[in-house]
Parts: sequence; C-alpha cells; structure tokens
Amino acid sequence: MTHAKEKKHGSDEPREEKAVIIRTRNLRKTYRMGEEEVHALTGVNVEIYRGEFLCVMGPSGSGKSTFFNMIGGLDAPTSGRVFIDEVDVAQLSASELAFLRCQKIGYIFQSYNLVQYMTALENVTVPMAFAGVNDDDAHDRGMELLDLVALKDRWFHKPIEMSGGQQQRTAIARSMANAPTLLLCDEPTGNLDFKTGDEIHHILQRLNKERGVTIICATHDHRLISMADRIVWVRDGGIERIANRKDITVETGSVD
Amino acid sequence: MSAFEIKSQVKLPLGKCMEVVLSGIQFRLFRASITMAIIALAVAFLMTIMGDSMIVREVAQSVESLIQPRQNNNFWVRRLSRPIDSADLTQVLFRARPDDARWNEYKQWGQASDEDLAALQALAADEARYLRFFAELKESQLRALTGRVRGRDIFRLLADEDALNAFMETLPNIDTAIPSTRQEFEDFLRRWEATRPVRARIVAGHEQALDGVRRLLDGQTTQEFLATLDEDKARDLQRLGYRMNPDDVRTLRVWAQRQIKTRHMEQSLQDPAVRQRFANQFGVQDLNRVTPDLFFGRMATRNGPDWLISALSETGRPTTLSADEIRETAEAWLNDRRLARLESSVQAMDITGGFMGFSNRVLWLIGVSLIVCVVGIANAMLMSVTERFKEIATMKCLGATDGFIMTNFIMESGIQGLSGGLIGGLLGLVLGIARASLGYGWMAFANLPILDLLLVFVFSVAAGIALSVLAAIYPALAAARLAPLEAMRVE
Ligand SMILES: Nc1ncnc2c1ncn2[C@@H]1O[C@H](COP(=O)(O)OP(=O)(O)O)[C@@H](O)[C@H]1O
Ligand SMILES: [Mg+2]
Repeated sequence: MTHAKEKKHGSDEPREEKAVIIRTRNLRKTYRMGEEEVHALTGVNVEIYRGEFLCVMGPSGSGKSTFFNMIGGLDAPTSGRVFIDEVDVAQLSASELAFLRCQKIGYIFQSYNLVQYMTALENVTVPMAFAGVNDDDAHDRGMELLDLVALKDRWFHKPIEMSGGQQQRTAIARSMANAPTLLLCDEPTGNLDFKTGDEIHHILQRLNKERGVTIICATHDHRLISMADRIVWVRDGGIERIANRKDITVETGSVD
Repeated sequence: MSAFEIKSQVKLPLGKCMEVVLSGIQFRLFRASITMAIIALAVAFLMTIMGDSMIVREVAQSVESLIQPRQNNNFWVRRLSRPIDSADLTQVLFRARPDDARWNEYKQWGQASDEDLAALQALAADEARYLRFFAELKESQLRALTGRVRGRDIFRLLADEDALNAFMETLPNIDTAIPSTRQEFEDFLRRWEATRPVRARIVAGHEQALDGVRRLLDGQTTQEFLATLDEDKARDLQRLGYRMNPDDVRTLRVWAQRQIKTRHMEQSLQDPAVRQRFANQFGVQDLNRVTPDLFFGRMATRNGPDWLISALSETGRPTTLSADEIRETAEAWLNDRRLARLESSVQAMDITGGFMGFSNRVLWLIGVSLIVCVVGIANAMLMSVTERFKEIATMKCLGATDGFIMTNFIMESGIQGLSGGLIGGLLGLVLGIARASLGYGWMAFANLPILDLLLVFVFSVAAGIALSVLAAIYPALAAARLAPLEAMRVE
C-alpha cells in the first residue's frame, strides 16, 4: 500500500526532478536473415521517467517491438546498453532476468497471449505462482485484479470463451499480478475495435494515475496520444522525435 | 532509493509444475493421446518380443525336465544291458563332475584315480573335434588316409610314428588339413594312447558288473527289473559299482512300469484279430489306418479301455491291466508324443546364451523397437514444442525460469511415458502370451514365468518412461532456450 502511495506521490512530482527508470545508450539491434541484415534499431538513446505514460508511435516495421524487447529484458541488443533503474540488464543472470520479468515488469501483447488451457483467474495467478505467492493469497489478489478490470464474475472462463476485449483485460490483470513498476504494452488495442480499445485505454490510464505505474505503450492509435505524458516517434529503427503532450495537442488537433 | 531490488527468481514447487502439466495434457488430450499411442505401440512391441521369448524359454526348460525321466530310463536300460563303448565313455565323462555318481562309477570300475579321469575328461573336447574332422571327410579321402580304420581306432593307428608320418604326408595330396597344428595332434594322440589302459579297465570293470546284473535279473528283461526296483535292488546295483540317486529309484520304477504297460498295449494291437475288431468298432475302413496314434487316442477315452479289455478276452488273451491303467497309459503315451514334437521344435530354437538369455535375433528386434520408440517419441515431443512456442515464450515473460520449462516438458513426457508404457506393457503382455500359445498351446499357459514376465513388464514400462524423457530432453532444451520475445510476435 505504502509502496503504491509512494509511487503516486512520485508521479505528482514536478518534471524537473524526474527519476529515470529506463535509460538506453546507443541501442542497436541487427537481425541477420541469411545473407541479409535487418537493422531494426540503429542507435537509440532515450530516457524514460518513473511514473510517466509514454506513447511510442511509428509505422509498422519501424522497430517498436524490437525496442520493447530490448528494454523489457526479453532479448539482448546487438550493441548498446539498457539500464533499468540504473541496473545494466546485460549483467543480469538468467534467473535474475526471470525475476525482473516476473515482478518488476508487466507485459501486454497485441495478441493477448493468454494460456489457452487456463481460466481467467489461473492466467492472472500464473506470475504469482512463479513469484512464490501461496495459492490462497494468489486467489484473493487474482480476484481483486479481475475486479479491477471488471471481469470478476468471469473468472472461470477460458480465453476461448471470452471476447478480444475481455481477453486483453484479463491480460492487463495478469500483467499487474506482482504489482510491477513498469507496464510494457505492444499495440494493446491493435486487434480490438474502437469502443473496446477505449476501455483498455481507460484501464491503462487508471493504472498510471491511481497506482503510479510507469506505462510504455506502442500504438498506432492517436486517441492514446491524448492520455500520454510524452510521445516518441520512431522511424526506421531510430527516434525521429520526442515531444510532451502539451506541445502537440494543437498539432494533432490540426491534423484531425 | 531504488524500487528495484533484483533477486534470483524462486523455484516453482514440483506440485505446481505438475498441476500446470496435467491441465496442459488435459487441454491437448488428442495430441497427448497420439503421443501416448506411439509410446504404447513401441512398448507393446518390446514387451511382446521379450514376453514371448521368456515364455518359450520356460516351455523349453519344462519340456526338457519332462522328457528327463524317459532319457534317464533309456540311459539305465543301456547301462544295465550292454557294455560301455568309447562313445558312451566320452559322452558320460564330458558331463561328469568330480565326485558325482558317474565319476565314482568309473573310478570304481576302472580302479582309476581322479587324475586318470581328469585326464580322460580333458581329452573329450579334442576327441570330438578330431572325430568331427574325420566324419566330414569323403570316403575316398578317408581311405587314402587311414585305409580301413574308422572312428576312434584311427587314433590308435596313428599312435605309431610311421603311420603318422604317412598320414601327414597324405594330407596335402587330398587337399585337406587337420583342425590343429601337427604338434597339438601328436600331443593328443600321445595322451590318447596313454589313457587307453584306463579306458579299457573301465570297460572291463563295467563288463564284470554286467555279469552281476545278469545274475540279478534272473531271466527278467531289464525293463521288468527296473519296474520292480526298490531300495534293496538299488543296493545290489551299488555293490556292482552302479551309483543311483535316491530319487531315481522311484522315477525309474514308475517309468519302467509305464513302458511295460505301453509295450503290452502295443503288442495287443499287433494281433490281427484285435486290429480287425478295433477297425470295426471305431469305423476305420482300412486296417493300415489303425495307427498307434489312433489306437492310444481311443484308449484315452472313457469307453476305449473297456472295449480293449473285452476284445482281448474275446480273442483269448485276457489282459491283467485295469481300465484305469489302460487309460492312464494311453494318456501318458499321448503326452509323451506331444512332448517329443515340442522337443524337436524347442531344440530348433536358439534358447541358450546371449544377453539376459535373449538370442541375438531377439536382441536385434528389441534394439530396433527401441529406436522406433525414440524416433517416434522425439518427433511427437518436437511437434509439441513447436506448437507451443508462443505459450512457452509467454510463460517466460511471466517469469518462468528455464528450469521450469525443462521440468514442464520432462514431466509431461514422463507422464505420457508412464501411461503409454502401462497400456503398451499390458497390450504386449497379452500379445506375447498369445504368440507363445500359438506355438506351444497349453504348454505356454502351463509355464507362464509370472515373476519373469512381471520383471519384463516393469522393464518395458521403465523403458517407455526413460525413452520418453530421453527423447524429450532435446526439445525441452530447445523450448527452455527459446527467447521470450517470441511472445511479442503477432502471427
Ligand atoms: N526476429 C526477427 N528476425 C528478423 N527480423 C526481424 C525480427 N524481428 C523484427 N525484425 C525486423 O525488424 C524490423 C523491426 O520490426 P518490429 O520491431 O517488429 O517493428 P514494429 O513492431 O514497429 O512493427 C522489421 O523490419 C522486422 O522485419
Ligand atoms: Mg510490433
């Protein structure tokens, strides 16, 4: 509880004293496909602040997902560094990486990625089991989280019995299982219709505002820009532009 | 102050792993049952082969022990009625062990020492080798080499140096060579010659004993004598140098009695009048078709014996055998007949030696089935991993360690191996018994080596589990090493 309050407090802090939660230095990723080399990231330097809601925009194939994999500790960069809270991810052992993914970062995917043979509740409690939480506590916390995403009375449904929006809400509940500091969302509404996408956006916004969770969200969806604190534009594996929302509201308004 | 304190990930308890695995198997029941079916088939094959060969081996042993009384009877009849010849001598010595019954008999008859007999015994293998060599020669070659002398007498002939020289010179001319060096052959001949007196003494000693036997028989046939064998008579024989095991007294007597009854019944059928009656009674048109098989077959039925008794008294030669005796004798005769048939088929098989008593042929089959098993299971597991790339990657994003993923797959394959193995083992057991019973009928069921079969069953199931786990290790490693970023990919 105090933990959450502390973070909430953190997000309210003036921007001048922003604490950096993720910092990358000259991040490069090159995929080799036979003869051909694909430069997915071409030297990214970025700082992401604790408690902010960051939107990553960019056309398909621009390197958003690759960027996520790097900063989420899901893949190793070809060169360059990622610091999460000043910890060099490259220095972590496999077990520490698992701990990081389990307890410190929540992931939300475009295709939900729920475990098909588990109920909503079981899906939500998987990361808790990995964290060593006992079954009873996991059950209670799981139900709380399902309540948060308004799926409490559907806890026994399997993914196949749920709509896309419900699955994504379950996935959000799951990402929050161990109360992570950071949520990485890779096009969370990419597979959803307009209205359902809105629901997801609002949940993310609530998590950011009420719980102080740092949210990094890749999206095509311009509606999300209005919720973000900052927006990063990515193109061809590099950062094209970074802007505060305040500075661009006029701009998007004119575009629409 | 840092909100990040990075520790090592905790290990998931095995019970939780098992829960995940079981619900996974339940979800993918169809695929899981195909994998299990593959394992079951392989294990069933393994079990069938091993079970069948174990039963057959048991049958063979049982046949051997069942024909043992007959062989023992033959052996004693021979020894009590004719002199020992060189072949008997070698054969008996080949199997005798110092201080057993046969050994002591020879010691007494030949007034020989243990060393004498040991020397004789040591010659047996070489003797067989050289005899086989001579036996395989063509008649013309043999004539050129030894003139008219044949068999063991050749050894005596060649003991003479000149004869040996001539022999050795002739060998190349007829395009052949002895199965050893000349040195060894000469050595053998010398030892053969040196042991000749002992051999002769044994034969002579036994012939003396035979005189005593003739007095004991007092006009009876040997079989009749054995049919009345008792402790006293065994002691009389012992005085003549024969050593008889206490068990033999009874079995020899029983067998001899049966032989006499059998002979009696066979002889009754030789009477044309009885034969004709038999043909009439049992509707056989052709008198030649009245075979012993048919005759004893009828005598083993309920009414057969009564018919024989009345037929024999009608033809003026009433029998002393009761109906029950006739039936029993007929049954024993038929049984013996069946055994003789089994004996030849059992001997045709290679049932001795090899790893764990399995012949090379069977071992080969087992090996092949194991390979089929591994390939099948490895393929199934590999498919299962590739199908679940996304699930595994997601699990890793949620904090699964490589160890958990490995444990997961190993457990899954272990469970599949166990259930497939149990099903396959049972199936194989049934098939193995069925296969053995096709060849050996009731003998297979009468000789089920329950304990051995159980052991083989456990082995097969264990092999199923071990192979499944083994085959899963590579796919499991591949799965564990899978980068979690796979989960990000949108299909
Ligand atoms: N595993 C991979 N192997 C090869 N090329 C890849 C791989 N992942 C991404 N790429 C390439 O890297 C570039 C960036 O991809 P990605 O990060 O997925 O972009 P986005 O998420 O913005 O659509 C693309 O050209 C893509 O084809
Ligand atoms: Mg992407």
